[in-house]
Amino acid sequence: MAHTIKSHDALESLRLELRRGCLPLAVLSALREEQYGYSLRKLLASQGLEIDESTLYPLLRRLESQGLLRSEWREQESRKKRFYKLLPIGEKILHQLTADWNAINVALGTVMGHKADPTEVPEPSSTSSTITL
Amino acid sequence: MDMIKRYIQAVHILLPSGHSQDILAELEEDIRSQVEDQQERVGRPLTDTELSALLKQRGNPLKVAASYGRQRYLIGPELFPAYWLVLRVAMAIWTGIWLVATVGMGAFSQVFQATHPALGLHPSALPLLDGLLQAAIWVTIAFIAIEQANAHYRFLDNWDPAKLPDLEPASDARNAVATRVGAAIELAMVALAIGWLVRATSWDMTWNWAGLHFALTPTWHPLFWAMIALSAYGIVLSMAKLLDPARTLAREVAYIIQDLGTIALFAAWTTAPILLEISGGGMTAEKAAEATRATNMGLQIGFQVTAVVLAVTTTIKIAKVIYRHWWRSSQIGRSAAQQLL
Repeated sequence: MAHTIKSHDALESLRLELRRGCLPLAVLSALREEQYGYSLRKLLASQGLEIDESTLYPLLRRLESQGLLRSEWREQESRKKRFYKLLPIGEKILHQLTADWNAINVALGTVMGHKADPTEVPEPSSTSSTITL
Repeated sequence: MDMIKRYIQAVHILLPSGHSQDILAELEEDIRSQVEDQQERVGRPLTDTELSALLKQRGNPLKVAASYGRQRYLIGPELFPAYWLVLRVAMAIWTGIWLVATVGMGAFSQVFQATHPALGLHPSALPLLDGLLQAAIWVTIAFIAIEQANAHYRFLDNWDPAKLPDLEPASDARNAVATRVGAAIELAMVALAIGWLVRATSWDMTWNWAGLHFALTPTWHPLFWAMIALSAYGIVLSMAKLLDPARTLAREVAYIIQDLGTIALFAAWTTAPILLEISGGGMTAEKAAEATRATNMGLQIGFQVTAVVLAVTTTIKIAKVIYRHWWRSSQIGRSAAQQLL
């Protein structure tokens, strides 16, 4: 029993580590179109990438302070919301990161002895797929 | 909705300064969007229980606030293993010193025995705790300072693989535990010797046995300080061996110096006149002088024999060191040169 719990914890920890690295890439990709925080979370969640808000917002701030995003407060549906959009320099970085991601994907496929096939990966549960840094 | 305001307020208190209003506004907007989303799904306003569950799912305000701050450490993960090692070593050394000093003083010091019943372990536990606390505080402060300095100057990144310690031979590694045990015993013995010496210099070194009165003469006194200095030197050597059991040339030379000092001390004793006076037991002054003379002669012979034995063992030790570090290496160098030629 203890062994099962331990291996489950190890899996969760490794899964988290695995997904954590790809988070900026996912956010930058999603922000090619303007989004506000909650809509961005929903968009990512609808595509199978649930992100904890205490992870997403600090990340957005970091990316903005690095000059990759811009943000502005605007009123929408009678509430003020903060909208984010990728800047041209962010586009460039995204392009480079995407190339890196593809290279890693190919390398991993080679290391694992086959081409990476997303259909082989079982659907993770909604709780375990939430990314928290 | 009051609960959302209270949640935001709790985050606000804990939030790092700077941009806090911006962060709070966005956080509140996110919560309200989520609430609206859920209300749309269930077709009614959320109950307090549902709202509470939603906030709970977002996490403790402490955690949410912390996620916006820069990760800060007093002692970070890079230095922590070294900190933990040094802390344990410092505490072990202090505990060792305390134990040996307490047992030594309890065994040899009459004043200590009188003021510390039951070997003094209980009353003298306070210095132990005080020392452990001091060790923990100073080691921690030192490592915090190193951590902060490293955060600015990154000096841990400036290291040279060529300067790493030499590889220990496998046999040395196997013997490390045995060497450490030997060093611990050595340390205990030397500390006991110091306990005895402290008693001898601090109080009149006299005792009664079988109706006889024994007293060390003032001839001892100048030699006591030499013995204390030698014993203190021995403690430093034992501690160094306890921390790092690897046999190095510097350590072997240091032990030879200790041996030479001990030989000099015994040699000095052999030339000293009367060391021990015996009286009492109903002896006449003449008989007492005879007993004193005979006993001192015995002591002189004992010191001479010890000095000779020590001189022989030290000579062997010096020969071994010369063989191991110079002669053999020069032979290896010579045979390597021959092979090359």
